[in-house]
Formats: sequence, C-alpha cells, structure tokens
Amino acid sequence: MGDLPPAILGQGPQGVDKEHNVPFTRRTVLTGAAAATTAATVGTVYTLLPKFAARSDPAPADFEDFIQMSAALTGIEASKLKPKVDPIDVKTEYFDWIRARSPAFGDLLAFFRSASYKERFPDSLFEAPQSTTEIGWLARSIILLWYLGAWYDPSELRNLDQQPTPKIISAKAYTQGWIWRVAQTHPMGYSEWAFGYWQDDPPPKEKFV
Amino acid sequence: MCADKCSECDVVIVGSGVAGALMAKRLAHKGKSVVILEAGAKIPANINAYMNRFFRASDKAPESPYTPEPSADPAWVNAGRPTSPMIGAKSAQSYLIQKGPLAFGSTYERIGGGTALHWLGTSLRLVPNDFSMASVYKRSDDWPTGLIDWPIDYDALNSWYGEAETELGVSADVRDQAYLGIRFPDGYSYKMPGIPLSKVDAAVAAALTKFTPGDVRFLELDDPHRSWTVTSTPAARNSLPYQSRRVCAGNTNCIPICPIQAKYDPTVTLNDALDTGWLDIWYRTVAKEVVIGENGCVSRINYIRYKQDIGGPIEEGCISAKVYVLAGNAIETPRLLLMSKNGGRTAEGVANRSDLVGRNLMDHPFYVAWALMPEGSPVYPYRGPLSTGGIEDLVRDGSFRSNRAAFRIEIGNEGWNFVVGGIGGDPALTTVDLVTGRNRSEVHKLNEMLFGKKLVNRLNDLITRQIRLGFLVEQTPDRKNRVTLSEQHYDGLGLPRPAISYDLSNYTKKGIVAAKRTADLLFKKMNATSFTKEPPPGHPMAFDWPIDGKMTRIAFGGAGHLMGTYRMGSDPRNSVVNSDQRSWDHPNLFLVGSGVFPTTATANPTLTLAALVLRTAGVILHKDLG
Repeated sequence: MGDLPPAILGQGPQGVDKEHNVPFTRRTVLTGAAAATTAATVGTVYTLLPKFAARSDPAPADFEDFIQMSAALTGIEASKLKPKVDPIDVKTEYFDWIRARSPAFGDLLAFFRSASYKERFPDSLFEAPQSTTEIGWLARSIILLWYLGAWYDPSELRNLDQQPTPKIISAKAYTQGWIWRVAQTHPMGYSEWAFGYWQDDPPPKEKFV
Repeated sequence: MCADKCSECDVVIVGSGVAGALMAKRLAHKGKSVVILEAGAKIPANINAYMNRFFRASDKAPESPYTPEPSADPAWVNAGRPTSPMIGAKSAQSYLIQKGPLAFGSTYERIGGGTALHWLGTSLRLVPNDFSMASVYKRSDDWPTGLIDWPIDYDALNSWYGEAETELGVSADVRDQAYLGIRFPDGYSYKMPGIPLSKVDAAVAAALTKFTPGDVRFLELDDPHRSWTVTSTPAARNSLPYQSRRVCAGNTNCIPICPIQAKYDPTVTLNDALDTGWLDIWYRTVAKEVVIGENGCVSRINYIRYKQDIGGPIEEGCISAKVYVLAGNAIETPRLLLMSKNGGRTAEGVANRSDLVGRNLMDHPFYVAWALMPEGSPVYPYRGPLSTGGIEDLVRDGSFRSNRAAFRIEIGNEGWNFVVGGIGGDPALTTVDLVTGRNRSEVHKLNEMLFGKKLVNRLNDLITRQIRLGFLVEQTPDRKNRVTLSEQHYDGLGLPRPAISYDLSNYTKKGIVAAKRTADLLFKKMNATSFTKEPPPGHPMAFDWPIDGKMTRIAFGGAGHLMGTYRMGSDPRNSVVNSDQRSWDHPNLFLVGSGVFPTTATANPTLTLAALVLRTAGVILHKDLG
C-alpha cells in the first residue's frame, strides 16, 4: 500500500480535511477504508497516465469518458451535455481547459474508468478518503465548470475558509451554464424567450434537465 | 492656455448621460451647434462589445460591462468612478474618499451615455405633495430643516413628464398610476401598455390580501383599511416595438445592460441628435475649469483630453459658447464647480455664492430584504425584467411624512442575485455552497457536498424559491452631507477626487425602520423564511435602532440616485439654480440633472430629471438663443 502512485492521491500541498478535522496527508488518506480497493486497481491507472499527458489532441475515448463522467457528476444526462447538434460546442472548450490546467485530470478519468469504481461512480469518488484528495476537488471544479461556466481552481476549493476567485472561461461558457436550466430559466443577459413569458410558470424542470 | 483659440459653438454640454443627451437632442433639432464634453470612452459601434465584457466578468456588478476596468487603481485612471468593489474600501483604493460617518454606497459611470447605460428603467412620476414637503407636512419644530418645497409644482411639470415619457418610451397604464394626486392631461396615455407582472409579483400580491389594519398600524397610514396592491411599475422598457427598438425579451439584466436595447438608454437620444449634424461629442474629454468672464458670465470651459484609460498622452484645450450646461451627476458637477477657482476670483467655486454647491447630497437609502418561499411554493425568479412590480399607492405619501420618511417598494425578479455577496452573487454562490460544502448562502449544511441528481434537485428547489424586496427610502437634505475636493487623493489627470461626508437623519432612519418592519410583515404573510442578515458591528452602512424594545442593527445600500448638491429654489440665498435650472450667479450657466432636486421624494429620479431638462431646453431655445 505504501507504494501507491502519487498520481491517484494527489500531489497538491498538504491540507486539512475539514470533514474529519485532521491534517490530510498521503498517510491519512491511505488509512481510509477504501484504500485497499484503490491499491488493487492502480496498476492499470498508473500505466495510463504518461500516455494521456503526452497527447496533444483529445482521444475519442478520453473525451467520451469525460462526457460520461461529467454526466454522473453533474446529474445532467450525457445526451444533453453532448447533444447531436451542437454548434456552440462548449464541451470541447471545457475538456481542453481542464487538460491544460489540471495534472490530476488523467487520474480522475482513470478513476472513473477503473472497473471497481465505475459502477458506483460518483459515490465511489466522493466517499472518504478520495473525496478530499486532488481528484475529489477536481471533480467539484468540473461540476462548477458545467454549472457556471467558471473555473474554480481545485486548490482554492479545498480550503473552505477561502473565498474562491473564479474565472469565467469565455462568454459562451457563461451563457451555457447549466445552473440556469436547473433553475428553469435562461442565463441573465441571454434570454431566447419572448415578451411576457415571466407571467406564467416555466415549463417543468424535466424539460430543462 | 489657448484662450484666444478656443473652439466655438452655441452650447457646450458637459456629460452625455440622460440629461446631457436630451438637452443636446432638443437643441440640435433646432439647428443649434452643440458640443458635448464626455469624460469617458466612446459608445461602441456594437453593443456586443459591452455584452462580451459582461459575460466574462466574474463579478456581475452594475459597472462590469463598462470601462475603465472597475478594479483599476483610481489614482491612475484618467476619468475614474466609484465601483462596487470600492464600497467600504480604504481611501487609496476608492475613487470616492469616504469621510463618514456613514459610507456613501452608490456608484456611477463616466462613459458615453452615462450611468443610464446601467439604469433599471423605472419611470415613476413624483406625487404632487413631493413638491411641497414643508408646506404640507411641517407640523412641529423638530421638522428636518432641509425638507423644503420645490420652486415648481406638479402641474408645472405635468406636460413635461409627458414629453419625457415619450423620449424615454415608457410602458405603463394611466389607471394604475393615477394615485396620491398624480393626474394626467385629458386623454393622456403612455406610449406603450404596462409590463406584465411576474410570478414573484403575484406571490407578493397574494400575501398583501392578508394584511389587516392592525398589522400595518406601525405605518400610520391615512386609511389603514385600504387594500394593498402590486402594480406594474412604469418603465422605459418596450412592451411594443418603439423607436426602432425591440420588445423586451425578459433578459433579467436591465442592470447592468440590456442585450437587445429594449430598455431605453441615452445612446438612443445621442444617435438621434448626431443624425442632425449639429452635435459633436468629444469623448475622453474632461472639463477641468469653468471660466468666468469679467461680466459674470461663463466665458469658456477648459478641458483635458486623454488617449487611454490609464496614462498619457494628454492635451489641454478650451471651448467657448453662448450657453453652458453642466450635466454631470450630483457628484461630478459640484466637483467641477468647486475645482473652478478662476485664479482665486471664485475661490469657493463657480455658482457657489450660496455656499450650497456640493451640499445636501442625497440618495435613496435602499433597504433590501431577502427570503425563501416555503417548500413546494416556487416563484421562479431570474425571469423577466429585473423588476416588474412595486407597491406605491399607499406608502409613498401620507400624513406619516410629518414624522418619518416615505418609501416605495420594488419587488425583485432576480432572486438573491445581488444580495448574497462575493463570487458573483447568486445563483453562483448557492451552487458553490452545495458543491463544495460551504455555507455562505446560509441555506446549506456546512461540509455537505452534493453532486449528481441530488445536486440538480436541491439547487432547483432553492433557487426557484428565492425572493428579494427593495425599499427606496426618502432621505432628508442635510448641509453636512456634502461633496468636497480631496486634498490628498487625485485621479490620473491630477484632478482632486471627490470626498464625501454622509450620514442619515433620524427622520430618514425612521423610514428605513418602517421599511424593515414592512418587509418582515410581508415575509410572514408569505410564510417565507427571511435570510436577511443583521450586519456586523462597525458596518459602514448600518445603524442601530430600537424595535419593540430591542436594539437592532439595520443595513442599507445605495440606490445610485445621486441628488441635491446644486439644488433649485426661489431664493438665491437658499439655492444654487432657479426653477429653470439657471445659475443664480452666472446667467449663461445651467446645471441640470438630479443634483437640482431640493428633496428626494421616493421615485427613481431619471424621469423627473428628464422632464426638467426638456423644460429647460425650451427656456434656452426661447430666452437665450431665440
């Protein structure tokens, strides 16, 4: 167990696991209940990483896994995150953005793909101890990216006392944020509805998400 | 200086906001050559340049679409302005130097089109008693001395209100607006029918039917048995195609910017005036001094031009005209007058024989309350214009004004968008709370982190139940609330930044307290749970007041309604301009905008200042240039 690759545990600075109120280090993570299962699968995970990091163009499989993983994380169907007709194509912008900024992205995709976690994903990810590792916080950054079109750096999210400094990654990312559809409305400043629609109830939530 | 080589025209206007634009249009259509000196940048050819800045801003504040960069150091910006992040900031980081005791929380723009680029569009008329506060309501010696009568009355403005409603394109229904003595000429109708009410308005209206006279005794209304209603707020927002502009599509973004220009902004008027060929707008041109000639008339305006928001090069120049109109706002206009010392001949500033320039600064202190509707009762905010309905007819006027300030109630359609702080407001803040286990919204459990379907359902449930009420409270004029010139802090052009002294009178505070109690009552009748926070001790915009025997701290915000600093009156000893907005001291100088308001009343000021400007344009055309 002591030989777990650093990649899956996260290489960020040591922090405090707020939930358990203890400093979290590689060692405390390893003592978690799921650590044994983690160890059983790391061989596959580890060998995937160098290849992933070296690629300049997204491979179809990685991209498809990104969409499926995003659907599980956000609660929004994959067919809506990746519609058949999608000239706006914010999904590729997100994929490229994350890949360029987060070394843990490959680890997270690998975790998602690994047989023992995939079935119960994302619960398997957000159960201690992985929940507060680098891939756990990256997963939350990815949820916020889809919802708000803004990048919340995982290193800022993990410190609950810190006020994050988000960056809206593009104008179209803001207008494609899923929070607006979850709230049964349109992005502020980007209505495609007609005069007076606000008098009536919106269509049911199911029409949006 | 190039005193002998000043440019010349008929009328120079300083400022291209709603007042300057309307003045320019009226004069240019009569073939008068007009030059506007605008301190800020040019209006972009395509509004999408602003939309792009807005979309990309992480903080969706009123200034976020506009230049200069809202967080830029005001010591370096050539034509700076107060912005949201500066409220409560230390002097060095704030364009306005706050001298207290309370902070002045309003902001404005200095850009082509002025602050009305980011206005809401609310276009209420004043009620007749607003023009005669002292003669109607002064009952005792503890009456606030500043609460005086205007030099004109409602009837003198009635037809000008109509003209302003035509210029701005106001949607409203006369039968909704004929209350508290507001009257219209026979057969008058607004240009477009009223804006439909929202689901949030409907929820408030339903709760109002549960009010009993006993519930509202604390308001001391003249007729406590009258039923309370929500009415569609008159707004310069198209309910029909008007002035070649589209119908409102409910973008829920009037502030800071309507993406389809369904809301009036001064660029509409400026473009019309430019089409005449008689108007020239000089952008990035800051008026620096109003020069008074030997005969007491204004002889020219000296200005500084700059090329970029920050840094050089700059050049200086001057312009001469027959008539000069200062159409900055109630901070920038007195700043210019006070800077104009004419080598000591006007050491206290131009047009300031009364010593009232810069004094009596007022706003509508804005009491804001927010709550969640009960589970299963969504009101679907974040839909429609930012505000569609309000409560006015009972609360804007009555004999209670002998004792406390009146207010109007604005119902928000934008949920908690600007009431929960930081990281862009809501819905972002609540989303971050739920995903990362924070609880800045106070609706969530600390450390609980949601994802997947549970996240979707919880967010939908919370966001669709958000409500927000705003109360615009009348503020009394007070000589000590004033704009002066900072002696320590300058802008990028080396001009002194405005210093602000600001406080609230007990009369005004009592109005804010009544507003808070009304909000509490409304939320109770809606079975809503209030999340309005009591501000921490030392909050720069809060005061303590006993309510039901318990000391309560109440916060207020700024409404962006700058008023009073060069007020009109009928006596030169007690006012800066006369009812034509002409300086008592310098006959060819006019000061326009809501700085002339002697008292604030409760209506958002734009419509009234527009009516006054149109009236004054007629005076200039007939008396000065006729």
